[in-house]
Amino acid sequence: MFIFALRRLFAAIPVFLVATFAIFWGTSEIVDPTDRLATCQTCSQAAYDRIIDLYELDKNVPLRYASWLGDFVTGDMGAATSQGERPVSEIFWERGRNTMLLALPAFFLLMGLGAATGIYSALRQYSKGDYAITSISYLGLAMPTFFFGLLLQVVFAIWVPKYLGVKPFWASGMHLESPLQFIRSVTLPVITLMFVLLAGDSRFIRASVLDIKSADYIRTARAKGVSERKVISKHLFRNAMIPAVTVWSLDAAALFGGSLITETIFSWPGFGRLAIEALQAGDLDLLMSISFAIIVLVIMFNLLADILYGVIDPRIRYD
Amino acid sequence: MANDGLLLDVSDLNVSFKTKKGMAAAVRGVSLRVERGESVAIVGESGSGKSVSSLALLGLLPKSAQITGSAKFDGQELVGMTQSELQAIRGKRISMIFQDPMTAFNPVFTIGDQISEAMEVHGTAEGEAAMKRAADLLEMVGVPEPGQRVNQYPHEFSGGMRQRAMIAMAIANDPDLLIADEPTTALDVTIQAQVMEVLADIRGETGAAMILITHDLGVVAGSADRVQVMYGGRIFERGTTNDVFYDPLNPYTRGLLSSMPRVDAIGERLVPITGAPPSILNMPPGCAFGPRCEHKVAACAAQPATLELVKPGHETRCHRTAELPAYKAVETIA
Amino acid sequence: MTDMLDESDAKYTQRTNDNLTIPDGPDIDFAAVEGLAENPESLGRQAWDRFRRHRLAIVGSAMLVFLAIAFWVGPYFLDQGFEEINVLERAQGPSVAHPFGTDDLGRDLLARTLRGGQYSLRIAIVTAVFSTAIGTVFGSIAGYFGGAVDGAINFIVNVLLTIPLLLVLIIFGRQFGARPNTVALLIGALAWLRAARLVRGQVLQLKEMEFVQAARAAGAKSGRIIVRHLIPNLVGILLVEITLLAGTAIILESTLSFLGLGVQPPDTTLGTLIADAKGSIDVRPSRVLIPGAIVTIIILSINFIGDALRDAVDPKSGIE
Ligand SMILES: Nc1ncnc2c1ncn2[C@@H]1O[C@H](COP(=O)(O)OP(=O)(O)OP(=O)(O)O)[C@@H](O)[C@H]1O
Ligand SMILES: [Mg+2]
Repeated sequence: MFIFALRRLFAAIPVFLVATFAIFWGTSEIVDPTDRLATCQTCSQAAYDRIIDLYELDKNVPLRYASWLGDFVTGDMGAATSQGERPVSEIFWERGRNTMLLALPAFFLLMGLGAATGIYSALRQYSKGDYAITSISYLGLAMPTFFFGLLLQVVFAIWVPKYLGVKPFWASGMHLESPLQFIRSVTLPVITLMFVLLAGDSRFIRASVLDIKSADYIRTARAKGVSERKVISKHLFRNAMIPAVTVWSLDAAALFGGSLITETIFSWPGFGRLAIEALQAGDLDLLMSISFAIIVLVIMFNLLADILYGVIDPRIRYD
Repeated sequence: MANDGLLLDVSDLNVSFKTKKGMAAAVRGVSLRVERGESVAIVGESGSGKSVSSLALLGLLPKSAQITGSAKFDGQELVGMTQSELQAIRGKRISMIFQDPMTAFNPVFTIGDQISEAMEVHGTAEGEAAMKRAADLLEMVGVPEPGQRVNQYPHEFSGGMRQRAMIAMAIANDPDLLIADEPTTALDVTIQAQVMEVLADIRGETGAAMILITHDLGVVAGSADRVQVMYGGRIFERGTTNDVFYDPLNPYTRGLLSSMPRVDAIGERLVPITGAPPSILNMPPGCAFGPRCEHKVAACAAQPATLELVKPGHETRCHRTAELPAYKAVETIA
Repeated sequence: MTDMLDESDAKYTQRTNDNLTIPDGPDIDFAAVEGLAENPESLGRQAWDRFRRHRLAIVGSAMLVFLAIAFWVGPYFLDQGFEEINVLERAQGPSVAHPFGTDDLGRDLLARTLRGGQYSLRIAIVTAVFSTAIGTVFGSIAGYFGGAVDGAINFIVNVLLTIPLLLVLIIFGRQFGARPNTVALLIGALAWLRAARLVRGQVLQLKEMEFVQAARAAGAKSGRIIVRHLIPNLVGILLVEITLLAGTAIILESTLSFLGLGVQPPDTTLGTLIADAKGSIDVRPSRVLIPGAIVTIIILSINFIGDALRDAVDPKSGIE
């Protein structure tokens, strides 16, 4: 297993290199850090040279990539010019934490609700509950996240206060003063983060369970005299976990990398928001660090999922 | 009716499925009697209702199935039994062996776990003891190195070994009746013979009765006392294995026999039955086999024939039993 | 037994429309996961299911036709063009003259919504066709030739799976976003992965079939076999794929526009309209809700059609 993990890690290295180089190259072509001087009347040639020097713009792209990569792997991400020269690692730590405040509850709720609704829907196929879950999932798959988030804001920050006279949730900003404030401020963004992912998860798990439900080995278990409850809680559930791990690993990578839209709409100072700020400020280094960090994250979660498959599914062998 | 030797007494069993194209009558008026320790084969082409009738006995059909009739097992009526009553019988007094050993085991549990589970749900053995017995059972059915094998997963077993393990699981609670649904169809010819031998040995040891479901008459010859031939959800002929093999009365049985290679008739011409079995959604009003029968007359299309006793223990369902030519087993191409 | 409930999860890629990561679903054999469980509750229920499924697709098609006509023909009936500024009538609520009201520059929101709808639909179609085409080319080459070619294409797919889709879109969106066709090409160039995998799988099956073997034995060239024999057999699944991708494209495009990186003013798309209205959401929520609802209805309609198409294409459809 350990050997397997190592091998997978090595196999991921070329993917990492090509992916990061592609991003580095593309970004260098498109984002020009000297842009922000163009409109600056008071800035001097010295400032211009400083930027050229900082981003090594006088060198060619592969060379810049190599030096940049060297810094990244040795853990030196430098300071972020667009964030008041704070060290990138410090910014990552802070923004990452903020993202986790949304991502962790969203992830655990998603696991529970995705499995619960998917399995329920499949076991009670064509029941009213199945129709309800299916209809909501369809809506989830058809609604862009930004629209869903705004919809929640309209309902909970405008209509509910207006007609019911209470404002249960914050529609914007991070409030950490007390546990209650925390809950009030994370509720809407967490629901927004979850909704679209949940619709996909639920559909996927439902389809998997429908398949498992009519598998031969389920019939074998019944034929042995195993009770219906145990057929489901043991034989069916354990097999349903295999596809579930797939969607969960995708969810994890998606959530923990931060979300552009949700964090933008709810003014949440997380990792996804940072990407937009970096882009708007033309901060090449910061943008690169973010991209690289996210690519590493994705590769890690893929690896984790592969290892989990091996734990759950004995047919997968690591040798 | 009560008969000491009688283990299973099925009469007038009907199974229909609700489908989007209407009611599908898969099993129609089937009866079956199995004595203790006896082996009865059910033979017929694909779709004739063999599996459905056996699954119906144990309540293993989906909810869309409607079952009527009676099936008395050791005096208890199975049709209409609650799930929990059935659970007490399944795997304990009646065990099933399924066709495809590749998919019939749960891929995520070890073979040992799955065999012990059969004992644990009925309280016949627990934990360590159950594992130990699982290994013993594997040994009985001829799985080498059973001590290690119990800890392996189904995918680590070959097809033949898996089917042996399936048999081991079926006999774990010393059942009175084994239902083997095409136990060898998915296996290589050489392994088929071995598995049938294991089944015979096991029955010799435990004295279990068996319903052997197959579409392969070759499998029947050596392993069944009596045979019922099914077609289109109905029984077309039944009798002792000898009677059915050497003096088949029904044109369908004859067709089956002459489409099968026989070791005792080298040089025989194989004559397949022409046409395909009818769809259960669209049964002909008369004899179900009528459209494919070489002896058909107008009467055959008008109404179904009834099952008639021709001589003691030998019944056939055919309008023309009296007029049919005598059966010639072997047509040599001289 | 496949009604709308049995639709499984091709659309599942849309799940990541908010996040920085993972443009495509997992490496799972979707066909294998799509259950075909026979457990009908009643005859009437089944008939209802079928009826309902087709009806949803029909309602979806009618809806799209209606919207398309409204988007393209509607503007001719309006007095004010979508770009026309009327400072005297700024930020008004709905009225007879302006059924959807006006924006902060006094532009007629109905006209702008219709214009935005045109772009959304156009981008969706161009993206879906383009993306499916790339996927088909890569997928059929990978499946047909196998070996090193397959390995190389698989590597590209892996790289693209690792790169955060939305991040790439926002970085490049600044450059390409200005014109609708380039937005479509950009999204299309990144969204072809699932199509490639589907086609590859199909080609692997097809190439073992007799008619292909026969053509090969007769000396037909590889390219010819792919074009003449394989692709015609893929039309069904490609149609489904185009449909489902169109939905994904609309989500991505509107998201990009929402972030201000798509089509630039004075032109507009539905996503841009929502972004413009965000500031006045507490005064006039309808400015957000109307374009949002239109986007949702378009995608819902497309998904219903996609499901019905897949049903039609899927060989597994209950017992005969
Ligand atoms: N769940 C079901 N719903 C509807 N029809 C069914 C169902 N299960 C079985 N049938 C139909 O019942 C008929 C009898 O099926 P059965 O499985 O008993 O055939 P069989 O004789 O065992 O054939 P085989 O040799 O292929 O196993 C078939 O026509 C089959 O299509
Ligand atoms: Mg069968």
